[in-house]
Amino acid sequence: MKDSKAMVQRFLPLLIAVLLLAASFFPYQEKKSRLRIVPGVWPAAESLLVASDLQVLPLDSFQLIEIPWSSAVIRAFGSGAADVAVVTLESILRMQEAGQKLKVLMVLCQSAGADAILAPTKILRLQDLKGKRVGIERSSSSYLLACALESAGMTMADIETVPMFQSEMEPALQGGQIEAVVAMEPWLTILSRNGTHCLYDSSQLKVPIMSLLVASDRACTSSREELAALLQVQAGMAKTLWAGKSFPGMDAVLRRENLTAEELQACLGRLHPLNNSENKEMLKQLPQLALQMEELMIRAGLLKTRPTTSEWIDASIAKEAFK
Amino acid sequence: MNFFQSIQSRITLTLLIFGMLMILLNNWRNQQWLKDRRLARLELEANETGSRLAGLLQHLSRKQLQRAAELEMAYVSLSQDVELGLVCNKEGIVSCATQMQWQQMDVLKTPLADEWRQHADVLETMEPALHWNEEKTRLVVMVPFFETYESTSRAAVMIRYDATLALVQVREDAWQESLRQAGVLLASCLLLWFALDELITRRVRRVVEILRTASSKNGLPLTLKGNDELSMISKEFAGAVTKLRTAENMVLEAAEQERRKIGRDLHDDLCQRLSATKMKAEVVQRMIHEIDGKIASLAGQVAEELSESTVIARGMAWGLAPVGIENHGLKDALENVLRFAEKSYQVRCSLDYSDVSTSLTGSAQELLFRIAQELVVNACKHSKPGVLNITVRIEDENVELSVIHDGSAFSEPEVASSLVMGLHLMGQRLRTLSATLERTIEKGARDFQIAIVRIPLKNA
Repeated sequence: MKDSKAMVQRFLPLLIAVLLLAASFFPYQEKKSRLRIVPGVWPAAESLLVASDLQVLPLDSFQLIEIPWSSAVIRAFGSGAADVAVVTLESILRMQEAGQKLKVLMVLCQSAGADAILAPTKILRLQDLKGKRVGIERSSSSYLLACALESAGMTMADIETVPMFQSEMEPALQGGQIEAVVAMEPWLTILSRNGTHCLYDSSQLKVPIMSLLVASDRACTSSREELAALLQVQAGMAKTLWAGKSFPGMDAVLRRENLTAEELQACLGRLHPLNNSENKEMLKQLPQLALQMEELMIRAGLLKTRPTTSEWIDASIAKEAFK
Repeated sequence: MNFFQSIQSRITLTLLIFGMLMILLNNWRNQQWLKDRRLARLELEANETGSRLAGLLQHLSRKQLQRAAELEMAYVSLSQDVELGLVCNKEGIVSCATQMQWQQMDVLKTPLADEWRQHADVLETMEPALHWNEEKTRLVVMVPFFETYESTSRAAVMIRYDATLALVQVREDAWQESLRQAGVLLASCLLLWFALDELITRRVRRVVEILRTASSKNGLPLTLKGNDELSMISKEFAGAVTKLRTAENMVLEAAEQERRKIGRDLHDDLCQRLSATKMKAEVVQRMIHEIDGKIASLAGQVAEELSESTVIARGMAWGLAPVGIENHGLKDALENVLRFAEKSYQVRCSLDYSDVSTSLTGSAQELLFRIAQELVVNACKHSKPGVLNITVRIEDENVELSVIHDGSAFSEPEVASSLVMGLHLMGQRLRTLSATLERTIEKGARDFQIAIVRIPLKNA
């Protein structure tokens, strides 16, 4: 007893000295910054945008940045200015080819006609596009065009692609600078108002166009709780949006997407939101689907090399969010 | 000792409390400084972004590059503190916004309607405005520009910054630093506490222990090792005690010598004279016996009284110098004490004596006798024994005196009394002899109380 007390008295000052050193050189704990989300401005990401409008996502934990162009979204995510983005599978393959590290957390929705090749009525068939100038947002729509051309026995070399943003397509088409466009919602609805017709749409694709929620590796490690909360909020808001009724914050959606209420419903109808079990299943199939898409894109010259990534799907956060 | 009464605890607690107060003060100052710096940086960012955007948007709108303007506004919202940014023309129509839902809307229907009204004169003066709200949590910057080459085509970029989160971060930073400082202070105080315990408190306790021992035990007081102040105190104290003991011994020795001298004088002078006078009185009694019987009887009474006076004077002489008078040694003196005990207290006494006269000096024998006398008288008075034995022998390089009796156990008196004085004098004698006193009890059918005095032979 006496020995143990003496032992404690001998080692306690040493322990305190160690504590003193630890306290003196304790590293500065910077407060975790808000999770920065760039969903893009398109219907597939509206569930997140509405959640932000309604402040369902707490402002002290989440910062939603509205960047209208998908290429700018990819750049913001790639540069580290954003932690979370909503992108297509095609964009993910391109980002992986560029060496960007990311993790797919969830498949938000699947395009069932929300992406299409539009042309004036004088162009009747896909074959009529031969030698024509087609406006395309390269980072997200090339796969649809390549599939369409392949189905018509053509290749990318048979047409001239004109890189442009979705918002530039309407004036370019009207001005005659291009003969056709590969558009996605909401621009698809807006362009359809002006008498264009659909030559090919995403419902015809073997590998569907999917909108995926991706996060940086750093965010997956340091902000798991926030990411899980984000997935929960997204799922809840998606149910509200796709319920087919008007919902709180709908005005803001209509203004943002520049659509009428009917157009919005039609637009949402062309997107199939994935529920929990569908999402789980889709995440399992994703590597295989990505492989098929990759093969076509390499064939079409849209990808130069096969991305060599190992772990790019993280289903654990969705599992945590919906357990 | 109460924890809060010790100097060690008081110093540590004082330092801890003072340190904590300083940390709190520093926290307050730090928060102010960090807040001012953060707000200044936000103002700088607002000015720079507003000016840059106004210049850029003027160029883009003149070139009709609306999409590029939209993208520029989108990048503005990458800033952590931007709440909302709008570009409005003089009619109040929003041409670009960091949130797409406000595009093409009337500015008065947007969250920045109040700010637009408040700074409407910016489009008149064409001077930028920067304004904090009262709580200094929101900053609005409004920078005008021309949309076309016409001087009437006025527009402005308006951005509202929310500093709430930044200020929360400032507070958290300051508290984090304060917590770290508090941790360092706490650990330092604990370390100080241990250092004080090791360097001062324990040594002070040792000094107190030495002081207590010196006042109650035999032998010289110990000294603390080292050369610090406490060690110096203990050394000085040991020196003072040594001098005191020497003086005490000298006083004791002087008193004993004086006793011996008076005893010897009584024995050798007064007792002899009394004896001679007694014998003369007896001669006178015989001589006048036949002449006058009455006077002879009176002379006989004088002779008897002289005889009694001689016995009393001898007793007094023995009491003052019990050892060495008339060549009676320690043994006789001890036997006398035992006889006195038997007679006065009806105790059955015995003595086992080995000759120690060659091992002890005369004065040492006297001191030993006085100790034995004190032990015996105390035992008889306070323990009420039935039997009592004194043993004197040489054992293990010591002269050993044992007083054994079957009375009650000895207990230290609590109040000052003659017993205390007796014990004090006994203690002095023990110290003079460099002797030790050990009290034990031998348990059995009857308990025996044993007091053993050991005098080292080298000191005897």
